Amino acid sequence: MGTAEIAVRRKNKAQRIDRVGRLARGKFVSPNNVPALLKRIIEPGDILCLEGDNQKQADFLANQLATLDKKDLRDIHLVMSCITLPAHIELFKKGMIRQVDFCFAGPQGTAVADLVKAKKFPVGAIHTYNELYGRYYIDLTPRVALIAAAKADRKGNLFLAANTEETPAIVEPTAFSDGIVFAQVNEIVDKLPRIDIPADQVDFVVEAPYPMHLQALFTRDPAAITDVQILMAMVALRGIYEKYEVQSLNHGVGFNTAAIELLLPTYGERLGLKGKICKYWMVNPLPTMIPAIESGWIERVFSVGGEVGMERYTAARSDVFSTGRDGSFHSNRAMGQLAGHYAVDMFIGASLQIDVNGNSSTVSKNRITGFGGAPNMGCQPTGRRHPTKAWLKAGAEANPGPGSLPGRKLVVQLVETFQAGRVPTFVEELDAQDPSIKKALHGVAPVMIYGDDVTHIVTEEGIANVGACRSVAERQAAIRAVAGYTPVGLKRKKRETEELRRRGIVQLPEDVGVRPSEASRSLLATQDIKGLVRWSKGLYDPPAQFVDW
Amino acid sequence: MEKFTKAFPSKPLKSTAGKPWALAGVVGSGNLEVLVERGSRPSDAMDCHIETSIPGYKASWLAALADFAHHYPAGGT
Repeated sequence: MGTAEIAVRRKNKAQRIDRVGRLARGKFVSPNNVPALLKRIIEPGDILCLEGDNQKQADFLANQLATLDKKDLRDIHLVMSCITLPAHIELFKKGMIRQVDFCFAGPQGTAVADLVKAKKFPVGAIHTYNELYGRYYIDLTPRVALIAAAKADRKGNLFLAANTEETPAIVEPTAFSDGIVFAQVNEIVDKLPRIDIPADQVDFVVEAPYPMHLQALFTRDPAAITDVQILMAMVALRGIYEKYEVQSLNHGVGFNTAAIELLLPTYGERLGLKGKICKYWMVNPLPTMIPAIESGWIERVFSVGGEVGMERYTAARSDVFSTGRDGSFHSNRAMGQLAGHYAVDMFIGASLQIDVNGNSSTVSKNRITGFGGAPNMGCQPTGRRHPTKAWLKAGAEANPGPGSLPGRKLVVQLVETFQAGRVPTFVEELDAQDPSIKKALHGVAPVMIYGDDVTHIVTEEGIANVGACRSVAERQAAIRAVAGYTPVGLKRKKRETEELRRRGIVQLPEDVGVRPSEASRSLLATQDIKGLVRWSKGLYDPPAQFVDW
Repeated sequence: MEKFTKAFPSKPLKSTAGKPWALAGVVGSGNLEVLVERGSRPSDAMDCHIETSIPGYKASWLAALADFAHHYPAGGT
């Protein structure tokens, strides 16, 4: 019976390929024929995967798909990591989508919230990256996957360049389940720099009339880092990096952690921390890491994606970054997320909202963004078994019982108590708990990182070591203690705060040896993008929107 | 514009500085600007005058200033 079923699936694929007929020459499709070809290879009821993550996008294929109508394409179960493009939203508006399973909807967060309100967003679940990739192999295997690559050769082998990202995680489950893999490429060439996806796993290739969209997502201009962010960075460096001797880590995207990267060669050097902390990273090639790399702080960086403008720099520093034989940068989102889950001692990042129990979210009633990778890294990997100093130290503080792990990952939230526009970061209840959002998500509130997984919350007020708290009430008191003058912070009780401070669970900047008056932009290794170019010895090519000289 | 005044108990400020005043922040920058003056007030209180272009944050101001007066010796200013 197993054989019969496989035969049906394989036969079905053969029928679809047959239907294509002369719309393709072998594997190769001309751009004009793409809409017609999509109609013939996709069937109602299909699980369709559109490659689109927070950096590279199969945007030509997505745009062609969006030119079709419900009569051409209906009852589609869409699976994709990021709903990013207007074309993605178009598919919902046209009523083609029966169900969607995804991870993140950053730039289209407002459009997604509108679709939810209009009941036009039939969501299965919002996932974390590895969770969704895992399901591609189990119960969400694509029948058709539309992907993006930098180059193809005449056989259909693909080169993914710096942004390998999640392409292998889409292609493998699809190709090995008689699914159809259709790649858009920037150009077709005779010889590839390296082969990332073998032609054997690729069914169709189109040379797109425009290069795939690539977002410079991880570039932070040092000019925009504030003194308050520098103060928080100093507190985190002394109170967490130095205290736990954090050797392997992941930084989230944001100015708070960019400040830390730019303090390593200056403030960090002065503290004598070089070689003791921050040696191994799972992070994208952040331009703000250039000064630390050039100062010899960093041994190894593995990335989930590339970053626009870092190509020449990463090739020149192939002793630090993963590169192919030709020196070209290599990334892999699924493996990077796996590494970020199991192989690093610390995740540190920011969030838009944190509730009094330490749960955090970036979702509001008018903007549904989802998760991406933060929850894969910002959680306790209970399957971890290898010990490190940082892991054991955090574990000892958590006072494990007879049935728990000896170690803990450091999961750190680094936030200012207020967001822009005087919106408090700390709230009694997350917007994500809104009943209409929970209903759309089948009863699950979209929480980014759960309070039970968090070990520290750092604000401009100080550090709350929530991992060392002994009760829910104590954790709430510790969070209120660093929540500043937000409504959550104003409810703190002086005696409770003093007691937590005495026990070292709450630490003010002075308790970790930081003088707030010292926190100044002059401590940064460089003040602007131009300085990063200089540090890179001219190898970093910042995107045009960051160049003002 | 919102203006209000309040005194907070605080330990006496021991100052060896010659100047009877100190200024932090930049006039007209839109950021916080603080002028501290040694006043004729009792030495166990910090007397505050707040002027802000953003109304509605009196409770936050009072809480922040009370914490400051508790945490640092600022009496007599």
